[in-house]
Amino acid sequence: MFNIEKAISGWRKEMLAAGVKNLNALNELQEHLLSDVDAQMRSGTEAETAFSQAVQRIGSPSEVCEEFAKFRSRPGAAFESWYLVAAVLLIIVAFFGTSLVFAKLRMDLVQRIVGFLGLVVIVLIACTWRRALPYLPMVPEQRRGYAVIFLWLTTAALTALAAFGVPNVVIRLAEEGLIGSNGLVVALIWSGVPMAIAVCVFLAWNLSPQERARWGMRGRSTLN
Amino acid sequence: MYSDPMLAKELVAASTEPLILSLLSKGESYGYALIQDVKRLSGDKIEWTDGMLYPVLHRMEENGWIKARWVESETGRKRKYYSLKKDGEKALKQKQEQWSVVASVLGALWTGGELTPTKA
Repeated sequence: MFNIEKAISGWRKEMLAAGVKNLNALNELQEHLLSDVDAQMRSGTEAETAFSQAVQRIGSPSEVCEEFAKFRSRPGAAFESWYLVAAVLLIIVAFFGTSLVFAKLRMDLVQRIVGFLGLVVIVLIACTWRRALPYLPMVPEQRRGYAVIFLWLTTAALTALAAFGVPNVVIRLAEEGLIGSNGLVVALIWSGVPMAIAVCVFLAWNLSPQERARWGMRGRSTLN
Repeated sequence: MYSDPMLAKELVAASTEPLILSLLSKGESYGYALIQDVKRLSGDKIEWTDGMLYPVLHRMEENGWIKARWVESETGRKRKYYSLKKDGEKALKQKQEQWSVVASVLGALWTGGELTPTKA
């Protein structure tokens, strides 16, 4: 006597063995299988035949796994969430480092506010540059991505230079005798980290899934 | 995606996403129903290998075109329903325009009429 429960259990084991390990995907496939069996049985097919035909229609475990694997193997899938973690950590470090430098330079309140605003502007640009895409119809489609990134990097760099007054800071650091000891490290944190933040935030937040795919950053896999 | 001999496999593959988007634009649906709808609407000329549909649906979900939710069906079993998102509507519009261009060019060539200018 055919037992559908046993048959389903066997089919699931085969799928798991073939590599379809995501339970959501497996449950969805199982529901599909059962819907097919139900439909066939309603039109008079016996359960065993209906099941066998449904299994055949769904495809062999290796074929199904191969199709999912194509999706899973896109580059960047495994570590995408790290972009966000890295971005948050870098933001914290950047603000901390910036505060430290401002304190060492004995900057007054207005200078500090301007400095922090510069940092905020960089982060905001990184977070929102994609919104500018629809307003750039003059850029040819195939070059649009490169053009926007170039514009974005230029704007971010100019903002950093203007708001932070990097040359001025370097002079001040030299005057304070900070460069040459731990000052260089502080200066590197102060000037380099905001750009690093901008890049990380840009990678993590700005790209739609399609764009992520285009840049080799496909999102989380549905498998595993 | 696999196709039966009636339609070239490449054509079936290329039309999979537009078909799914179009069907979901009529309302939420689930994998098995989508396959049956395509089969019925194409007069059995487009037949997907059932298991191959799901990686496509998952990719579209990941792309942000469609969203999914598990709902208890009339059988008492949980079933995953898909529906169109805003980005999916945009993607559908884009695909409609692209396929319309192909259809109008081929139509004009095959009927011997003049080509109608179309917006890309």
